[in-house]
Amino acid sequence: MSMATLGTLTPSSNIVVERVTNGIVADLKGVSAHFTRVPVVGDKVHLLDRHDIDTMLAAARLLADARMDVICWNGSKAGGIAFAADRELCSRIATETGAKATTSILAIDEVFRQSQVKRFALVTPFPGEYQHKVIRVFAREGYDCAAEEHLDIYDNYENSQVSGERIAAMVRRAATAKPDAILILCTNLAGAPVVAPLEQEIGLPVYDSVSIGAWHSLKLAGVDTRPAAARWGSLFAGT
Amino acid sequence: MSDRVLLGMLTPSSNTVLEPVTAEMLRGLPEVTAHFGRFRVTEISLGDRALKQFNNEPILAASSLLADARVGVIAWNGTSAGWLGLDADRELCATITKETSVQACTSVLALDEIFRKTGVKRFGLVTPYLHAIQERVVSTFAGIGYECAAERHLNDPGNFSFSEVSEATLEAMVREVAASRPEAITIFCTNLRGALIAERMERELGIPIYDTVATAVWKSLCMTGVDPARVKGWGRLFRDVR
Repeated sequence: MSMATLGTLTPSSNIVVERVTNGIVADLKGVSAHFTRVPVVGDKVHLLDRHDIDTMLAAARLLADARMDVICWNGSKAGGIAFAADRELCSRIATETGAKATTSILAIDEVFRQSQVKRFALVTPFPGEYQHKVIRVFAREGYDCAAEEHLDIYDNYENSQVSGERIAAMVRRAATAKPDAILILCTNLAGAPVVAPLEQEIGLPVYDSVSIGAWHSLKLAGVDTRPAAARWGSLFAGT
Repeated sequence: MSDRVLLGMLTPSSNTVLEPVTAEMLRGLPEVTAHFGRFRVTEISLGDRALKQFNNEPILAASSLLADARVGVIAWNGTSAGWLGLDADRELCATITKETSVQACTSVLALDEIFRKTGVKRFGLVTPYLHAIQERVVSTFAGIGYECAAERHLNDPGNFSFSEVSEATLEAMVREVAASRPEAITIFCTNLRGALIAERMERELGIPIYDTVATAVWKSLCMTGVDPARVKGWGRLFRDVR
């Protein structure tokens, strides 16, 4: 069987990543999605300043037992640390498992570079102080935050309860700064389903950290993502 | 959002079938989603190392990560009780619920319940397992009152390879056991693509076919108050058994 197999490291309290990834995969042929969890729970997750590499590698090895083509950490944590944290994680995963590796943050970096995004708008559910940490991390990578919206939510589970309407309202406000692109960041936020209609409405590229992680996994696995573009946004339309 | 129904699925690490099949079964139920947590399972045999894969500790660790997502049920979507005995699954469920406060079920306990509810006494057994495992599964079921009328197995230690067994091979095995006219046939192994053939083989043979991914999903839906009949095209189990 020539299935492309995508393995996703999922934050344990996350209920969005699996739903969105399976939704994207349902629009494509010959792809199967697999998951395992790493501990991310509660209201202190913003305080962590590095990956627990051993725990994440142990989870990656469980996915490798199922012979994944790609393993993706679909979490945004490195956005508040440094992109280098995810580069290090991916190189360890690739070395230990033989799978290609990526993360939500590295996918964002890839897309921003490819589409020459320099000024972006940041939409998150995060607390203010953490939001500003993320903005500084992106600035160090060469991406200026032109506008930002956040919700001051601390508990990761609560992020999943934010409605699509509320996310869309934040995206619309951020769009008024005319950024090159708008980024919805936080993989437990259900931003992916509102991307395609918002792009139509505001005429700017909108990227969501869950669907962008899935997109990059699909690219690395050599899958044609175009059939997913209608439901999941312009990112998927590219070849 | 708060009306969502979240099903937690404990997944053997080398399994590549149960996640896509479960997601596909739930596709027509917009408020229901499946979430997955793995623990290491790479071989199915009666060897020490293989048996220890099903010790409670790693399963409980995976359960606790599923509980972080506030799932409404945690299902052990695997068939180890077939050779370890159903009490192993009963104890596992009790421990999961004690440690996570989430209700729990398993593929094999669900199958037992389905056999009881539908009055099955003589069943057909299709697996990929080694001779020794198959014998244990037959005797486990005999011990709780179910006579194995016919069986087919592939004598494979698995676990990854089970996912590569073709639908045509499974269909042939199901047809062979159907010749003994059992009251039901179970495709017993959650890394087999059995759920994908259940509906059409039921139509061909007129015998209910219970795949063990399907039994776990069916029971998880029952326990979370979702009508299983909304899962269409995956066999009589979802349509008829309550």
